[in-house]
Amino acid sequence: MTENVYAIQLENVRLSYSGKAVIDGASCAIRKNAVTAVVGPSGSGKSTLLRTLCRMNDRIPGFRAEGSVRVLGRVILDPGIMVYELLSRVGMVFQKPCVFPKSIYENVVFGLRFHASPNGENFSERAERALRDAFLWDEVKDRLDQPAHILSQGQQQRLAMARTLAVDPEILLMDEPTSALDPKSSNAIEDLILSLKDRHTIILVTHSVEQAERVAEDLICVDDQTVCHKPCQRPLPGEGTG
Amino acid sequence: MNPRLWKERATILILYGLTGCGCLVLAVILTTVIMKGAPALSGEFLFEESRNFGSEGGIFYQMIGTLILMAGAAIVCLPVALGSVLFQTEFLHSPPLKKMFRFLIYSLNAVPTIIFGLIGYLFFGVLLDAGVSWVTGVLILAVMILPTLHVSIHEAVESIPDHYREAGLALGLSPGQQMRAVILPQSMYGMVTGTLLGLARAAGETAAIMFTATAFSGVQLPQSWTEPVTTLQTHILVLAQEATNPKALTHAWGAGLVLLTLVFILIAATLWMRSGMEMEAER
Repeated sequence: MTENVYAIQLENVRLSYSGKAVIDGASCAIRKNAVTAVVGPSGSGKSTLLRTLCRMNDRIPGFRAEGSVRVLGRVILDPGIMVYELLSRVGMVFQKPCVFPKSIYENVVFGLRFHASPNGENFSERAERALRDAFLWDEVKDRLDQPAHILSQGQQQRLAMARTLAVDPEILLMDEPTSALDPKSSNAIEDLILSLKDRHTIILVTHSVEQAERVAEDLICVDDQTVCHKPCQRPLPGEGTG
Repeated sequence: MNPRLWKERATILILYGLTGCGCLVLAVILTTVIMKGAPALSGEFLFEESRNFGSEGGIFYQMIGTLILMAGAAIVCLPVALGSVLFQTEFLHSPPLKKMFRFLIYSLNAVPTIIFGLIGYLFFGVLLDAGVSWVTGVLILAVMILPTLHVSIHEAVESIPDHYREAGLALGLSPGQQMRAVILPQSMYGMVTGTLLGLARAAGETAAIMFTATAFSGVQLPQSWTEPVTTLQTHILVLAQEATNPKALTHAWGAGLVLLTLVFILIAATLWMRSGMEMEAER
């Protein structure tokens, strides 16, 4: 039952670097097809928590995650889990936009090339859909073969999102995606987040409580090694209020 | 004058002097080789085979032999170097093991080349029964240039910005896909420059291949795996040591000039490709 409602469930999670706890005893659940914002002061462990949800911290020497983390019904801290299989269902967008030194089109289909089924899916259609979903299609449709580095920072961030969306993950993790952007680009990303929540579960790490209130239904506050869950500020579409 | 300013100027002057000394040595070598070797250069010298103990004819088969050894060494060494770098950077997670691996590679670089020749001949020539042959030479040179290639590729792989790896990982790329899509394309310049520098080193090597892969005369193109080749290095050495005919000595200088030109072409190609690929990567 809970697996139908919640995309992610944490139980008594402890995250540490070289034995020093960043988060200790965290328990919370994140609803499917909702935007959940993770807020807290700098260095509180917001990004560490987010990256744990896709095992991105495994590469960091000394990092250790204990407890139970279930993502889409699977216990992901199990050492036997294939991390790259998990990451094909859980996409991540980083603070600074990262585009590969390739064309705009090649950037969008970068991950798709390795995940598309062998029955010959049309990459162009998928790329166009991802770029439309990222509100970038109209700006780049006439220059898809040009290098991605010529785009502005805001456009590069939306391109990174389009690249992630092209793989069609069920969960989108966003690590302060607007912190390096100007207000106009930030607004565009916020609109994008709101437009995606019907199809994806979105977890957004942000410094800005205002931004969290604008786009998120649920809040997770991280501070002083603890995680405090403030569920459901606004009811989800279709949920009863009484 | 202010003593601090005086010391600073003296330091700069000493550094200029030391740099000048290095450049002077190179200039003397280049000038000598060009002046003594240029009279030997001609179409006949470059495209005919050596005759009359090197005092007549040219160095065509010596050039071909040198190129066979160099190309063979690069073809054998590149996959080994690439594999060892990927193992070290992508799969070896223990810092002490990584350190030990690096130490081993640097130690390999410090081994005198004659030792490579000796061990290589015993292993490839005697144990694997390849004898004195171009295959033995290729394998010895491949082991010899392995540290050069390894270090160059390793530097290129290590310098790949971490956000590229994370972006690949975040898209669910498996380790193999990550290597194919992110690491190899981004470290291409290291592979190219490492290979070219390794080839330049192999081109200059004499001791390791002299008694294991080459013959001075009576050899053209190898017809089987077990035949030796004749190379520019051996040709120069034998002519310089044993020739009594002044014309043969001029041919030795001519062959030296050709070898030096080959090495400089490889170094120039390295610098050109490196700057081009770095610019591409920075775009």
